[in-house]
Amino acid sequence: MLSFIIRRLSYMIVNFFLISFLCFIIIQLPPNDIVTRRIQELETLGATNVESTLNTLKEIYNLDKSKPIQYLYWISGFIRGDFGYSLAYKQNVKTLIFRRLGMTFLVILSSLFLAYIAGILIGLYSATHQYSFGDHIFTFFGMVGLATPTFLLALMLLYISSRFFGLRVGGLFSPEYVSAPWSIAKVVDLLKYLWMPVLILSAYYAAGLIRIMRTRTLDLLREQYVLVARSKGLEEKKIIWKHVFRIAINPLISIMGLQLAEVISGGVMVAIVLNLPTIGPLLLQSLQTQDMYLGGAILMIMIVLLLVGNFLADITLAWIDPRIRYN
Amino acid sequence: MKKIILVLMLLIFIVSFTFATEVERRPALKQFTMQEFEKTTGIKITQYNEAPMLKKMVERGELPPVEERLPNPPVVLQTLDKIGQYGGTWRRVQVGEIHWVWNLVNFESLGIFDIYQENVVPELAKEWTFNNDYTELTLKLHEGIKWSDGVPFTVDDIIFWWEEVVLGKDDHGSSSPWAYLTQPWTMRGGKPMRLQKIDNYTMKFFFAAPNPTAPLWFQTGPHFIYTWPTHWVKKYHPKYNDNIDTWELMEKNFQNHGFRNPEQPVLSPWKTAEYLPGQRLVLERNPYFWKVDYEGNQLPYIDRVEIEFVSDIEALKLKLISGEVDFQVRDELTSFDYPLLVDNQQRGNYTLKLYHTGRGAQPCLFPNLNSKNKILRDFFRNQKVRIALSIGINREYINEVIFSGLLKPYSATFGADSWHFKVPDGQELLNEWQQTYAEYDPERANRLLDEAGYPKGSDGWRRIPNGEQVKFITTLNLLDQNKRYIDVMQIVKENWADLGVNMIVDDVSDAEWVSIVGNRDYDMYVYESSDLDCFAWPATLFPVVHWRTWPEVKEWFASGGERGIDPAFYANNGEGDVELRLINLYEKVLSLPGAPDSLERHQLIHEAVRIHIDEGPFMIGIVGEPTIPGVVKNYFKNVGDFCITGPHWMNAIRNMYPEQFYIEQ
Repeated sequence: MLSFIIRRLSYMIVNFFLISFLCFIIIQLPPNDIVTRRIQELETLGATNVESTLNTLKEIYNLDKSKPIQYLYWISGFIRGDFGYSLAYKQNVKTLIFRRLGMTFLVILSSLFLAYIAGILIGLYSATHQYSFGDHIFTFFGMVGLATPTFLLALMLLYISSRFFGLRVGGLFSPEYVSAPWSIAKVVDLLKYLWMPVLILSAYYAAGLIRIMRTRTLDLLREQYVLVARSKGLEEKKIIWKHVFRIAINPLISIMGLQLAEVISGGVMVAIVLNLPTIGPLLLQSLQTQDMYLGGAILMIMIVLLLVGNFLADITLAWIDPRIRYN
Repeated sequence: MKKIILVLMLLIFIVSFTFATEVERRPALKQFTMQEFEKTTGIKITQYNEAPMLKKMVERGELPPVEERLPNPPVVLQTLDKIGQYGGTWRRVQVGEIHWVWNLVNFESLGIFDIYQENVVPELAKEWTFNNDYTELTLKLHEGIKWSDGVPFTVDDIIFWWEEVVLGKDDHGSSSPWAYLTQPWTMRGGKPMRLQKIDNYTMKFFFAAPNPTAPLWFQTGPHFIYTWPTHWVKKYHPKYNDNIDTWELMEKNFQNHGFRNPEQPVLSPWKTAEYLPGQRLVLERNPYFWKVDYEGNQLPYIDRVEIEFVSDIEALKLKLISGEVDFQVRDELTSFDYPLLVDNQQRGNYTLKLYHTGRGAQPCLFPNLNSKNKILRDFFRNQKVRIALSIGINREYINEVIFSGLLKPYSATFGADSWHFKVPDGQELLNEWQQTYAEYDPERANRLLDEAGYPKGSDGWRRIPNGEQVKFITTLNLLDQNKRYIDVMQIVKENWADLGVNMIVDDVSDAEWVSIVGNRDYDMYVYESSDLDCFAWPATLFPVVHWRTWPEVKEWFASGGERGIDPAFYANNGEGDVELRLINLYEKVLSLPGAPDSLERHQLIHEAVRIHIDEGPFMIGIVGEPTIPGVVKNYFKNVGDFCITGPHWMNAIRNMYPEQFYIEQ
């Protein structure tokens, strides 16, 4: 087991550098860069003598150096704790991201948590009570949840809650609590807004999970060993939870590993419509405006989360599923 | 049933609007020096008042008393309806963070346009006068104005900007990121203007050649001439701070029309209290603001401004109808939003106002008459072709189908509210321009294209004489522009296909747009025509700024001849001399002696319009938007019924003097 973990760890580190370099190249693929964009904005407003300004800005933001050098500057910055500077917001990227990390984790993690609980339980129920009334209802809502775009759901909920319940439109806090220090009142205020994105996102994530869980369990329930266990007189509950569940959960754990990166990029559309102070909208904006440092830093966090998530998923799988053992 | 009622309401609304187009015109708000005020009104202000929140700070010893904070004497501003009440929070919502925020903070300008865009009136400046040959401009500031941290605002702040930053160099000899501000108006006669301090509130501008239009740039606010808090900026300047040797810190910490740094001193009614990137901006009153109302109350009335940033326009509209916004104008609201906004007036406790957009054509097509592709260049430079393209567009149809008949189909002009159209003959000129080549006549268009020498081939597409098909690409920016433009271009494409002209519409991302338009690689692109003052922003008429129809000549003019193509080239090559004549005409506009807005100067603009009418069209317009909705809560007072909301530095809200808005308690 230990050698397995060490091997996986070393692959992870190599992967990290490869992917980060690729990511760096891809961000810079579209023609021009954010400095040229800024110059163009100035020209749109009538500026004429822009050559020297362009050169000075390029120098300040290291865009006049060759790509490999730029990459090295950038990567070494992460180790120093310097994530770069966002030209669009004129802030240090680190402050920009870290300020939003808390809320991002809260929204996405609670959505994922809810989604997995719901997914597992409903999936198991659907499989064990196949074709029952409950199964049909869950299947129906699952399909709807999967098919409806999240931003549409968000808009609908926004409209209904504002129109018929007089709730404030969007955001995670009321104006008086946005910058206030944490208190019970602030937590209560947060809950008033948090339910909407969590509801939408967990419905969205759960839909897929229910289907997978249901299908897997149904397949497993037809296996020989389940038949043997039943004929031997083992309780149904024990069969499901001790034997079938451990194997059925396999794909979900793999997905969970990948979904760790969802924490950063997940629910971007919902965050935009509901105006949540999370990292998703930052990522979208930075990529649209080629704000290299901001976009790059967020992508790097996603890469790390993806690799770590994958790693943890592999370990968990090896531990839970007795059939998987690597030499 | 509900739908019929809605449509009926909309119809009644539109009909009543067409009859009530002329809102009762009230005189523009007046602003005086104390001396002028006492002379004009006979009122003598004996005592100054301040907001309760400031009074408490004075009592606690955190601020000097109001008499010491205000200039001695302060500037006096008229209020629109009533003297206001202190207090309250103005809630605003904005899509994205861009420029419009500076309408409220850090945008103070030496002069501004009045609300009707008819005169440039002094704001931070008291007055300006020229010498006889327009080479020496004397500028006088109001005396005693202080920055929001109490430090006096003097002419040093303007001189520092010019000499130490625009013309300044860092310890390595590099120019600053603000070096682009050496604009043509500062470089008359080929040499940078020279500034000289006479005393703390008087300075002179010396130009190497006559520069009678210079004061017009005073109203461009924080675009082309800056008033900087020198005492604060110095600590980031490489020359004045031994610890830094490049412009980097200044570039990262200081912003022209900055609102992001709560520590940056400002002269505007409010200053930044809190900024959460991408989330919200909170402004608080500036205790040193330098204006009072007719009764001596220090402005502004409103204590706080909370601006929330949203990423989606639909969320903005939802907030508007829920009554979460106190006063909203601009921000992509269009005539399509009328029914929604009218419907919810009662529920949201607000009133809908109709403001002018100041735009002359939305969208507007700009063919590249300087195209590097000779075939296309000849094609576009042929007037018959352009006339054909213009009369080949079915504007009525587009207006009906895409804009629900809410806009007006006419040829592209610059803004109808421009002061150039308010002088004698201006209105007639505007009407003529709007109607020129605006009709739909595909038969005549086909004939013109035949006459121009582009016969139809056997496949129906027009070709140049040696056989190659005429084909060009129209570029459209997906990010920036009105999504309806894509639909408009589809219909234009069909209209032109009927003429045998093969146009391909290319919707590109923002990055590609920057590349294509910035590098002047376009055949034709889609934008707007939204100018109100062709003296300081001549983009529509003259090839001197922006890209538009003659990008190579514009580049030549803007770079002082280093890049781009000399207009004489086209003249010498037998391709016509319209650019040359326009450039010469613009030179005349800049050098004609007399007041900046003299009738003769306006008439030069009329001459340029005449060239556009007679030899054009040089840009092809389709429809124009006469009005735009604005939302004002019923307890939000002193907001005018008339306003021209665009374009950029006209500072729509600034012209309404937001410092005299108040919230009725």
